Amino acid sequence: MSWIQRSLSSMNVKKIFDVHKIIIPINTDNTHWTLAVVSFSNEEMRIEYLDSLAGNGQNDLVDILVHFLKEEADRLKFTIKTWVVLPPRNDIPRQVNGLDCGVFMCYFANFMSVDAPLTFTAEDIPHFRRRMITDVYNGHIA
Amino acid sequence: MFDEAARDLTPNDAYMAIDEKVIIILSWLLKRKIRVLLKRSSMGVDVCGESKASPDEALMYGLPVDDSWLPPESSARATLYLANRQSPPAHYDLIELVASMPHPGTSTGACPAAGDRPRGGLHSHPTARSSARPLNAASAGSSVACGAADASSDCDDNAEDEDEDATSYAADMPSYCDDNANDEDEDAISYVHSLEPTALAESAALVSASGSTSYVESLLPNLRRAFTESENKVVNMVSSLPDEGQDVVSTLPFGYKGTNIPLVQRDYARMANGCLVDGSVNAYMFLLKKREQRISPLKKTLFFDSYFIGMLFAMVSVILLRATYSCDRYHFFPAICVCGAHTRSALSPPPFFCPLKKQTGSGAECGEVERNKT
Repeated sequence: MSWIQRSLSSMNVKKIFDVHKIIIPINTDNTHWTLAVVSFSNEEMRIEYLDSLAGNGQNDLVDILVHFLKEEADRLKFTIKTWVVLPPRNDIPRQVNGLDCGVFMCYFANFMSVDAPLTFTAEDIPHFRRRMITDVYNGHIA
Repeated sequence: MFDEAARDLTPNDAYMAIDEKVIIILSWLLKRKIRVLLKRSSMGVDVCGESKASPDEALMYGLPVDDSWLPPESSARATLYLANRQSPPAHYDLIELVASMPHPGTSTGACPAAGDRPRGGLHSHPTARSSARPLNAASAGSSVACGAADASSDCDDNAEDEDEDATSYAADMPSYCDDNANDEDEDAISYVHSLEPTALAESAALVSASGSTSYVESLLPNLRRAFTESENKVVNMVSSLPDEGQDVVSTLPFGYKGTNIPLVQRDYARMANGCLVDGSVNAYMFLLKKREQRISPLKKTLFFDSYFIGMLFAMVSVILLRATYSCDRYHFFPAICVCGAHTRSALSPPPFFCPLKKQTGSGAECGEVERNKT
C-alpha cells in the first residue's frame, strides 16, 4: 500500500477526493507554521494558503500541492473542471511576535474547518494557548 | 512553471528553455535540502515550529519507516531521514542524496556512466564537498541507474505495478504515459491574483450552508470564555513544565490506526509558551477531527498531520533527483517524457511538452535519446 493510501486509510478515507475539505498544516524548514486549505465544491477545487506572517504565499509549496492533487485527480479519474489557487489573504489575523505561528495555524484550522470567519485577533492568542492546553489535556474541543 | 510560449519554439530552443526550468527547480530543491541539513547540524539554535519525529514516533504515525515507498537505495533512505525531519546519519551526505540510484535488474545500462555525469550544480556545494565521497564511489559496485530506464516498465504498461511489494514506491507516482493528456488540463489551473468579492460572498454562503451555523456563531465566544477552576488547574500545572521535558503528560490516539501517541512535557510547554512542535499540532488536528464528527457527522474534512507536506516534498525530491542525475541533464526532459514515466510524477515540471515524442511519434530509450543528440 502506498504512503498516500496508508495515510488516507488511517483516517478512514478511501480516496482523497471523498472529502469536502482538506486541512494541511505546513511546517516550513522548522521555522514557521502555515496552513493550506483545499476545498471541493461543484467540480471546483479551491486552494487557500493562510500565513499569519502574511508571507508571499509560499508558491513553491502550493505548486507542489496543486500538482499532487492534479495527479491524484487524473489517477483517480476524478473530474475537476476548475482549479483555483487563491492569493494569500490580507484579511486574516496576524501574529505580532515570532512565536505564535503554530497557535495561529491551529486556530485557522479550527475556524476554517467549520467555515467560520477568522474573526479572532492576536490579542486572543494568549487565551487561546491556554484553551489549547486544556483541550489537548482533556482530549476534547468543546 | 513551464512557459506557455515555449510551445512555439523550435525543438532546440525548447530544450534550452526546459533545461533552464529544470535548473531553477533543482536549485530550489537543493537550497531547501541544504537548509534542512544545516539547521540540523547547527547546535543550540532553537527555531520556531520545530518538527522532528523519532523512529518510534514515525512508527506510531504510520510514516513509512520501512521505506517501502522508496527504491531501496541508500540515497533514497537518506531522503527518508529528511522526510522524517531527522538528521541523516553521517555517512548519508548530500552526495549520496544526488548520486545515482542503482536499481538492480532494471537498468538498461543505456544512460551515461556515473563518471560522465555533469559535476557542477549540486555537487559543487561546499557542504557536499566537505564529507563527500567521489561520485564513482557512491555508485560503486552496482550498475548505473537510469532513473528513466526502470520507469519504462511503467509506461509499458504497469507490468511491475501490480506487484505492490516490489514497486510500491511507484504506486505513489502516477503514470504519465499519455504525454499530451494534460496539455489542456494545465490551462484549467487558475492562479487568482486578487480575491474577488464573489469569492468572499461564496465563503459567506458556505458558512450558512455548513449546517452548523449556531456552532459557528458561538465558536469565538466559546473560545474566549473564562476558564473553569479545573481548567485553570491544568493550565497552571502545564505552565511550570520544563521546555525540554520528555516525561509523558497524557496520551491521545492520533497515531496510525488509532495508536496512542504520548504527549510529553515539551509538547505542553510549547503550547503554554513558545513555538509549537509536531506533537501539539497533530494532537490538535486530531481533536478537530473528533469535533467535526460530533458536530457535523455528514461533513468530511481531512486533517492531515504535520508530516504530510514533508513527505510529499521528499517524494518529489527523490523523483526529480532520480530523473536528473540518472541521465545527462540535457536529456532531462525527453528522457522523462519518453522512458521515465514515473520520474515525471507529482511536482516535476508539468509533463505536457515532449519535443522528442512529437518528432518521432514513438517512444525511444535513453540511449537513443543520447545518440540522437550527439
